[in-house]
Amino acid sequence: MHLTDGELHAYLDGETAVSDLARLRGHLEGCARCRQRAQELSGRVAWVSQRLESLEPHKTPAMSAVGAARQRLRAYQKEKEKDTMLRKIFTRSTRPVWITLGLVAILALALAFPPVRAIANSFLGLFRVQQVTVIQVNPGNLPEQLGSSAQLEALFTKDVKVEETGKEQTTADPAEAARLAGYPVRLPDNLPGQLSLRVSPETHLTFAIDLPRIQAVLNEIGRSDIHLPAELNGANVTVDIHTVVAALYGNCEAALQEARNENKNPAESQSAPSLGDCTTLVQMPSPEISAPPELDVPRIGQAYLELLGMTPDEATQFSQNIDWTSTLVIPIPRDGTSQQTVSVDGVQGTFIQQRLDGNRQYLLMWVKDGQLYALAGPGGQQSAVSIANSLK
Amino acid sequence: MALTAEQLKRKSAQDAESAFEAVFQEHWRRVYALLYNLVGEGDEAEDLALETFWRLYRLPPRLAQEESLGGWLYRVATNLGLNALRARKRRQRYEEQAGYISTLELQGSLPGDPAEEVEQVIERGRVRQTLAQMKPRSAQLLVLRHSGFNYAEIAAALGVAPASVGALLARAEREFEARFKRLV
Repeated sequence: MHLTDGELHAYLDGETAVSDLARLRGHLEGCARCRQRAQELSGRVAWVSQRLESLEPHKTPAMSAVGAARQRLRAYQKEKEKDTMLRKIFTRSTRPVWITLGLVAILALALAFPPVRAIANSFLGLFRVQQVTVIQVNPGNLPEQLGSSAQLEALFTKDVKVEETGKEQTTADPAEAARLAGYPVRLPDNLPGQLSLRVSPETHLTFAIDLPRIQAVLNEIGRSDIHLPAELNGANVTVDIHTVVAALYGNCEAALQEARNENKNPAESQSAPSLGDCTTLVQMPSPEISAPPELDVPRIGQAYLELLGMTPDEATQFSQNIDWTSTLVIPIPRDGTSQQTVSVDGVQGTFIQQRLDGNRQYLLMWVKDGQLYALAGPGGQQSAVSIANSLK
Repeated sequence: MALTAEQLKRKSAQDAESAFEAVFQEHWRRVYALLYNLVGEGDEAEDLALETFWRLYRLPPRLAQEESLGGWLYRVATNLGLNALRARKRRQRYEEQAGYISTLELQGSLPGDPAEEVEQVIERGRVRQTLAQMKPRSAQLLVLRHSGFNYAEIAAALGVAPASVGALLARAEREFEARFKRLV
């Protein structure tokens, strides 16, 4: 076995672990090929080093004193605070999207954490959803700046147009909710806690794709290595979301308040909010998306997966095995969550369990007869499945 | 850096403020110098350094519990610096083709042989262009290594295993050499 370039490089840099040093030296003494390789490597290191040294100024840069710099940082902070105010306004204007997307609101309540929510918000695979797939994501692999990307916010405020046909309405009467929704509302049997039904209006989303702006987002978050097909530029993607009914049982106000605060300041929140004893069921007809036929959907999906931290190879493989036009791909954090496929309501559903400060909460999603259901609440699989199976 | 992200998070707001001050005092010069080398212009370097610290102020790193703030800081700083290089890439290439050399660039060099100075300015332009074209993480690796970071510090800043730094550097240097030679 010859030495690897990595071992040789570390050796040349004096970074070999002490425990490894004798082995490396011994090998080098006896192996002409590795000595030769080390020499080549050392030549390149010196050459690259020389090039980079040319960047060093010949005189010390006129650097302001640390104290003066600190003063300037204060001024900079003030400027940025103004910017942050604007952002809050922008964020508020994108909130209807959240609320209307019901399912995402549930994710915000139950599972999502800020960076993933930013992506879910942006890319949500809202094709005619027939199934739900979950991929587990290591938050450490996500771009650092995703939660605070100004470009991403600009993308939502400038390129995404949201038309709502009315206002969210609240009722306690299932028949009234069904009338407002325009379809029969299914509810679980015997679920304790006071029921509140919220019906969100039909929403029409238009996304005029501005490729340079998307590329700017990718640059800003340090992933300029992800490339999107050029024909995407100028394409119009529209999403039609029918009325969404959210049934809330128990004390949900606290959880909703927490989620609202988090939505205002996604970058500052540290983890998903706790549901407490609130159980929610969201139902909606599968949203419809129309996009130009030339759109290379698997390729876009692949970019999405790379953004979530998959390597290009993994993303290609995963992307090829999924029908992006019918599958909602939801990223969930790897830590503290587990997921599995379960039989529910006569179909296959996706069950996600999350542990939060010792408490368990779940999210169960399934699609039946063109309706998308998401149930979230405290507890485990048994209670989730029995609630879901009791829908009438 | 003794303070970890987790500790900073746990401290009260006041403690966080003074922790921030300490981080600023300790790292400002190094962050600024690194960015100055990278972008070559004092004002731009200062803006980028301010942005780096502002991000730290606003968004204490929340990911790995034991990640050092120093590591976070230099990752963000190199990221911002390289983004700035990428943004100016096109303009600069155009200017270089037109034989234009920024007076700011010349101010940084020694009084001496003008032909040599021009040579150096062109070389610096190529180095920056090469870094801008490289895979972001590879470029970050080289910048950090040549700013005097050891393997453990690089590993902490970029979130890679310390044992993989040698191999990553070897790969980054190959990429640098290949891209640089294409520009010449």
